[in-house]
Amino acid sequence: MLKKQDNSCSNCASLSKGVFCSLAKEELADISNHKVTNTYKKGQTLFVQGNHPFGLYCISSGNIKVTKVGADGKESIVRIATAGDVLGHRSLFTDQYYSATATALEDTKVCFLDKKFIMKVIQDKPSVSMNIIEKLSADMGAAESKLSSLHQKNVRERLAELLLLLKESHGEEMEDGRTKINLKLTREEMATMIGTANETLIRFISEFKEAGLLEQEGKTIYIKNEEDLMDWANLAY
Amino acid sequence: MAATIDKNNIVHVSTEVLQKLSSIAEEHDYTTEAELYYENHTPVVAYLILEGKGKLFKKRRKDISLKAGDLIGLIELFNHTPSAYGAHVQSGTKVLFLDRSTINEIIEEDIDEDLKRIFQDLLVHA
Repeated sequence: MLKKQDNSCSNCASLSKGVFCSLAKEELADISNHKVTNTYKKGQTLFVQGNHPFGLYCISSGNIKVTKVGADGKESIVRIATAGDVLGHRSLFTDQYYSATATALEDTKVCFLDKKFIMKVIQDKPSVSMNIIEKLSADMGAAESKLSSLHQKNVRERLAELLLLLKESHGEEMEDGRTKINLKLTREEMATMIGTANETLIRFISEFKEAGLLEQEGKTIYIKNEEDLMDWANLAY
Repeated sequence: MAATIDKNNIVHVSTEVLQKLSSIAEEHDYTTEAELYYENHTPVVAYLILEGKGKLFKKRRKDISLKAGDLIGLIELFNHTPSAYGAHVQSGTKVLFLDRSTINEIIEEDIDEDLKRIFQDLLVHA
């Protein structure tokens, strides 16, 4: 007989990074009773651009790519959401349809709370509102940085910046001093994240490898020299 | 009876119930075909087909057609159980979304006595 999974919020590995981190055990139990938990397989979508927003999605484990399809039909990755992140929060307040599509990059455990319920939690628990504002602010900051990078930086600088961001969000320090990026993105996906063509990205990855900035083992990227990568990213601060 | 439930957990609601629910929940027109939920997932809301067509599907099983008046996902949503089938709608289908909070309001508050009784009866299964 299959053991029933424990999906309670109080036992969630990402609780400390999530929007409900300040709630008491009994408040978390309320949320656990109301929420729906699913594990999305790679390629399955949580929601689709243009569809009606239902509520808030909280990522318990795994990674989700948030993509937008332009008028030309091309898909670009807006951001990668990971454990502790929330999705759908912007649509909650704007009452607009989803402006992007959320797709699992690997097996990803996601909890869902419907709009009426989460709006009541937001009204009743200031800590949850503050945590959501914090997430929205961080998203806005990241979007502003990305916009300025796309306007002001060349592809080499944008790739170096992306690798530093991935190191920050998905990096794992190895004993040999390298940092492993725990996120498997295709070259095409990485190319859309920095607004360039696949071929251009591949050329620059080779250049980064030759310069000793990174290494690859299969599809996994390891950052070897963060200091040089920061120089190459031409960071303003 | 204004709503009946079949062996696949599809609730068939009468036109009168469908109209009442339309006035209290949000609807969406699917301009392209779409997955409502995947096989082995718990639906995040219950879906009531208002117009158009859809299907429940499962590998190596015959599809089950959905039409106006079919409410799906309700029992799984309230039971916290995965659905044995995935659900798909065709382009041009109009769907009403009934989330857990809205259904709780129907059951616990005095929105409509008929709807209250119907959902209480249906959720005896959950």
